[in-house]
Amino acid sequence: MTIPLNRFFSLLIWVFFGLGSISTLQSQSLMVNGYIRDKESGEYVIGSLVHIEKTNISTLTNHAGYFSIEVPVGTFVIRYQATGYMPRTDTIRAAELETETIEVWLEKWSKYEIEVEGQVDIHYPTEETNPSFHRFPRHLVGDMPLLALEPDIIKAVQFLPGMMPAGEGSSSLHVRGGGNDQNLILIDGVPMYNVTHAFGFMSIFNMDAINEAHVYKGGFPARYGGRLASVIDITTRDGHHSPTTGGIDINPATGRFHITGPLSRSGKTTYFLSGRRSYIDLLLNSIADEESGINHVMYGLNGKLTHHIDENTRLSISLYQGRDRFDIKGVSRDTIPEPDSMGVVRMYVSDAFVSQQVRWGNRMGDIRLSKRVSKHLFTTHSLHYTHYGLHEASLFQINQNRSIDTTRLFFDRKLQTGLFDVALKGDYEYKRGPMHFIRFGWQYSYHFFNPGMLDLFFKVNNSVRLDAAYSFGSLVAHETALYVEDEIDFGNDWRMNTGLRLIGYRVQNTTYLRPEPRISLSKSMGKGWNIFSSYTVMNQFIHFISNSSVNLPTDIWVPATENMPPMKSRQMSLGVKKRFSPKTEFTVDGYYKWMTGITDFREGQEMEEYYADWENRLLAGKGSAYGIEAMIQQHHGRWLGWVSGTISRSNRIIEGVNFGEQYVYDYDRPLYLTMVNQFKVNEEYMMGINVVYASGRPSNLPIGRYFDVNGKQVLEYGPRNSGRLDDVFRVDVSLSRRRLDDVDGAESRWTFSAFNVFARFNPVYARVDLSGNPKLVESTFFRFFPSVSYSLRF
Amino acid sequence: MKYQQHNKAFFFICTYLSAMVLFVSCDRETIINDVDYKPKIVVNSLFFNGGRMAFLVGKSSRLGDTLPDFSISGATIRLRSDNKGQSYVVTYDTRLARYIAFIPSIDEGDIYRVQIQSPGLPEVSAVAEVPLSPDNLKAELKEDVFVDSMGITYDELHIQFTDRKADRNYYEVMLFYFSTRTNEFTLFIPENSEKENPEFALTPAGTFIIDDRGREGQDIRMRFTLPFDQASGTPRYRVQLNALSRDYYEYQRTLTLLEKREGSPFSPPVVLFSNIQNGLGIFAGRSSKEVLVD
Repeated sequence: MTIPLNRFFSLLIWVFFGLGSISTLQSQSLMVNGYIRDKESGEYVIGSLVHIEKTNISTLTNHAGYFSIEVPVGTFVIRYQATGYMPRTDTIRAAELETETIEVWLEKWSKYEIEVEGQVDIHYPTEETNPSFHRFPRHLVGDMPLLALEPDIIKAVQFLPGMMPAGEGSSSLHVRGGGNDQNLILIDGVPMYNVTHAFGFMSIFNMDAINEAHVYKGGFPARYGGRLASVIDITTRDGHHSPTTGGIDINPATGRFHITGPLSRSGKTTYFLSGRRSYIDLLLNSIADEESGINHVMYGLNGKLTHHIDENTRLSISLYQGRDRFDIKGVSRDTIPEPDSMGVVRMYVSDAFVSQQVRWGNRMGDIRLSKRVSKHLFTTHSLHYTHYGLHEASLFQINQNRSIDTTRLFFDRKLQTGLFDVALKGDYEYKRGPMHFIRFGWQYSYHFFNPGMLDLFFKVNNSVRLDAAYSFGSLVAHETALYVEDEIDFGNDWRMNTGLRLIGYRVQNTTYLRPEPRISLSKSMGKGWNIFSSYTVMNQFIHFISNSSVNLPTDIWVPATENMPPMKSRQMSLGVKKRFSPKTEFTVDGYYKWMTGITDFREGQEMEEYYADWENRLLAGKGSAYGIEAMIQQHHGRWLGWVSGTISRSNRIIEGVNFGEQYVYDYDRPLYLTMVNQFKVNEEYMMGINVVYASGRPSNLPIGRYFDVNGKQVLEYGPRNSGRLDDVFRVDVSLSRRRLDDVDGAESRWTFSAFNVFARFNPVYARVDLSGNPKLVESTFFRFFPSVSYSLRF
Repeated sequence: MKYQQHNKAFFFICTYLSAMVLFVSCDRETIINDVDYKPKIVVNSLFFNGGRMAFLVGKSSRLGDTLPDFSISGATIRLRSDNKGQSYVVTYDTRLARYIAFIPSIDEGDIYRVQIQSPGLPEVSAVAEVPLSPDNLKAELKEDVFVDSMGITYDELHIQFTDRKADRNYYEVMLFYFSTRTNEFTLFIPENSEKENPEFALTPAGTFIIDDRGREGQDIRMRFTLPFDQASGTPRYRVQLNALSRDYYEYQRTLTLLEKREGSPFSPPVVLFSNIQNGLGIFAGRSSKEVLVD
């Protein structure tokens, strides 16, 4: 006996949620589905609101720009609204649309235009009422005055409340008391591991390639899992359906290009290609010589090919590759005294040559098939591969020229670390009736971890003393996840997104089975007010071992093991969102988060040159974080930007660290205030001003000194993180001039900016200088950084 | 014309980039003088069975202050053995700049309690136990184990001892070779000894320490490949095995980490272990056994 698919899903709803009344509602309404697209480029618009006016019915477009909505029988007005686009309303007779898939074309809303008033009292989907959820369309980031004028999604996100960087110029992200490793960063659904270039000063994301980013700090839907603190879901651009367009950008740090267009006249196949490269190496090469020098280069390439097999089926292939290479080499010559066998001191010359090369980077590939199976069901299946790897090669050569002989020492060391995932997953969206919108899916991931493989070769003259290879235990983990979530519209101003994610994780001989309940509840209070509350459980089956407070390529990822179990968090949040107009909103969000399995180094331990024995170098404990975040934001208009404030605390208790006493988390900043402004002066000029004020980072500052048993000076420290660096205050400004060529339609833009325009000293770390009378030396990376950039769009 | 403008723009950017490097990165010195700091008594006393007990007593100082004299000579020290029920006289030796305790014999299993007072500083106290000495210490020299490509032969020194089952135990191994030049045993660290004995930590003093976690009641082994300069002639070695108290071990362990971690600004600092109540430093004992290898 076969059960029709629709019946099966109705049964599923009934079984799981006990709501069998759907069929009665069905008879009074019709299902309409369609795609929302950009009028200019033909690209699909993600996260667009679709709302039936004068009703409580609304939904959002998915990652494919697809929506499915139950509409009342008869004539109705449907409103489409997306960030960066002019709202559009259509009057439609439902009967005419029942069997069709409609296409809606939205026109980009020039940010310079004055607001068009619209309805604010909309019964929004739960996600849209979540104050811990933010949308980041590309245009919002592109005009922000950021370091070296390099548009960077991660640096832009750092201006959101509760999402803090480690320090000035850093691309790391610490969300609600979480570590940098606790952010799930997805490109087209594929997790990326080390998301920074240039030792953490810029992220791997090329803004030209990004369509939109969705950021969650709490109220996580069940379709996401694997990290504790945040989800940043980045969707890349499919490619223009209209004639080929492109652009180049040059700034002091990098040069970028992108090109996009259709591959066929029918527009069924589109492509997008972009690249980015730093060119500081060209400058450094010119001042380096053969024997000594320092150099760094990085590049990134994004590509996407999308083919519309038919109007309901789309196949896309996304690729990314990014690499960094750092070289350093030097020579030294020393004259060394050495007593001979008779006790007479003789001098000999020692020549040393040292070189080191470190290469690291990410590689990602994703094949995705999206299909509208029926007006009720939309499916996405994908297969992806993601890889992060580091190769380090060091060479050390010494020639000791004694009078009686010459000793040649030769040391060669090669280190490889990294990990890769191969995953297969299916995501399904099922819409039946006005009450339920069900998403469910599965995922299997194969994880391979290589904490380190080391080759050592040591030779004295022609005598080989050491020639060995060490592997620090590669590990394989299998992860399976199932999830189901239901967006329930109770029809009386209440909405709920409830779900469950079930994860099975097997590593070595240990299997972890972890359920993750998720629930988000929202109530529309009228006049644009919404109350939102959520409870989510998240698990993280991967640990991050980092040497430092800045992102270094030598940081490694290792799986949860029997000795080092997974991390877990439980987060409760309660917030309010008020929409003053379609372009202006205000949010307040309070949260409390409990974390277990949080890792830290044993006191004084760090990963040094070897990655062996990493489990014994770490300790696990628990932590908590709580705070309140507020933000007022304007999405469009002559002025756009936001003002946000965060008051928060975060701490840890780990047996073996700080003598088992509670201590403040390394990135705890009790006060974090940001302001982002983009202001149109006139049609030609635009200004940008970013302001940040943040409490100083906790630090381990010594308070005294004494002598140890060997008579050596020792610093006396207070409890862990009991000190704090100075507060951070920074103002970044930019001014851009745009010119439009009336003949060929090309647009060029010059932008001038200054990062930290007041050159305020914002310390990133502190150390003690023990020479003479001890001094505390605070250091920063960027005191003042003026930039200029040029971009051309054609 | 347009392309000429673009070329000029590119040239301008490159020039600007070069000039901008001048603005990057900065350090700032801060004098540390705003901490409400109270000096503490520092006690440094590591002793062993059969030896004598000496105390180096000093005081800590605020980091920003000019370093005052460390030693304190006017302190009052009360020393008592819990298990022997005796109190001992402690006097200051000006020549050694240390306080010396008159104890007839420091024995395994002894427990000592010390209290130190000094005017203007908080009183401190500490307790130290002399652990039982380890069992079954064996050392064997295997000669001419291999020959390298230069034709030089190498010996191997094998050391073995048995962990006491009870409680957590801590050990320290010291290796000496007999120098014919000075006619005395000298502490030495063979090349590659850390790689050959990865379970042990090499201390700044040149000793190897280990705890028995995961090795309870088992034989613990070490191996040293002796380079040709130590192996030449008639080799003579002395192996000393110390059983350490937990406090002694923790002090050595953190001292070792402190040495390794010195100068790294990014990672958490190493806090040197202290078992001195209200003060700083260490008061801990060890017991030793040794074996000669000819």
